[in-house]
Amino acid sequence: MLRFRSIAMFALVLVLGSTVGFQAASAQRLSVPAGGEKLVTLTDKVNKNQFIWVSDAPLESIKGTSEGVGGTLTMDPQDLSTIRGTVTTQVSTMRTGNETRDHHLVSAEWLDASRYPLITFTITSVDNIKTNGTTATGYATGNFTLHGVTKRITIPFSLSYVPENAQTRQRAPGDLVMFSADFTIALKDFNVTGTDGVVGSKVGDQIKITAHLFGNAVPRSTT
Amino acid sequence: MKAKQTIALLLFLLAAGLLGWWIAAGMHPFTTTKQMVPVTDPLFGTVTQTWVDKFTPGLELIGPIAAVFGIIGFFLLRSGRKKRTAGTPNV
Repeated sequence: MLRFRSIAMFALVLVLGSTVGFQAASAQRLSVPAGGEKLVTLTDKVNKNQFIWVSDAPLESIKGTSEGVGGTLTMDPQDLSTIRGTVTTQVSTMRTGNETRDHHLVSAEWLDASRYPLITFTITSVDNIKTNGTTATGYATGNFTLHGVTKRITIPFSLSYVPENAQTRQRAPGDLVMFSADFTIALKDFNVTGTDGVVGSKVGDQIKITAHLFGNAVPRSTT
Repeated sequence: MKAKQTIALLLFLLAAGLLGWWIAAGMHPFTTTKQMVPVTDPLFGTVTQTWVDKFTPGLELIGPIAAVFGIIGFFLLRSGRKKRTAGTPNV
């Protein structure tokens, strides 16, 4: 009798465990045809790759963009926890609508584009993934490097995956992927202090960043 | 005499007009020559931004010009009044 109970208990744990495991796995899976691991190359052929940022200072809210975006990611649409890769943007492409301010922004006192030409984010892990058809949300953790300083940060992101079709082929070969992310960084964390006393007064200390990244995904074996 | 008053009035109007333009443009402290315009991607529904040429005056440009107009207008009015006071015969 005791033995039967033990076996029944074991079977129940097994069933529950596999159900939870299946749900966790399916939560990380997009509803797209299986195709194995893909290499996603960020390209403006799909749409304009762009970082939009806002500096809310007491004197003025400054809005700007950075468009020299590049990078490659690897991902398996059947297991989004496998997303890895690096995204870069060129500091020299930052624009605010005011040429004098643009020059200040890339100067040695601020982002020092000549010494630190790139801002990079290298994804080391992805978790809390929730999928809904061909879209998903999750959190990407990785190393964010700005002004020569690297910090480990976690960024919430959303993803939209469009399997290859006649419409997508007009932009780029393969499936198309779009990543969006909203996050905030503190300039002081990256030793960006600007002219004495300017950060936090004329320029906000916290910079809100929105990323729109577009790429085409092709099977990794074909690359 | 009247010419000075007219010029002063015109300068005040110009200064007021410049300040009105600055207020209407959003009261920005700094001048911008480009503005972001949202563009929606029909495939993804994402809104990206594109830059278009648009001059928006800032206070750093409008302020000094309006102040100079105001000061010149003030002195023109003042000099006109002084001359008028000096030229008035004592009764």
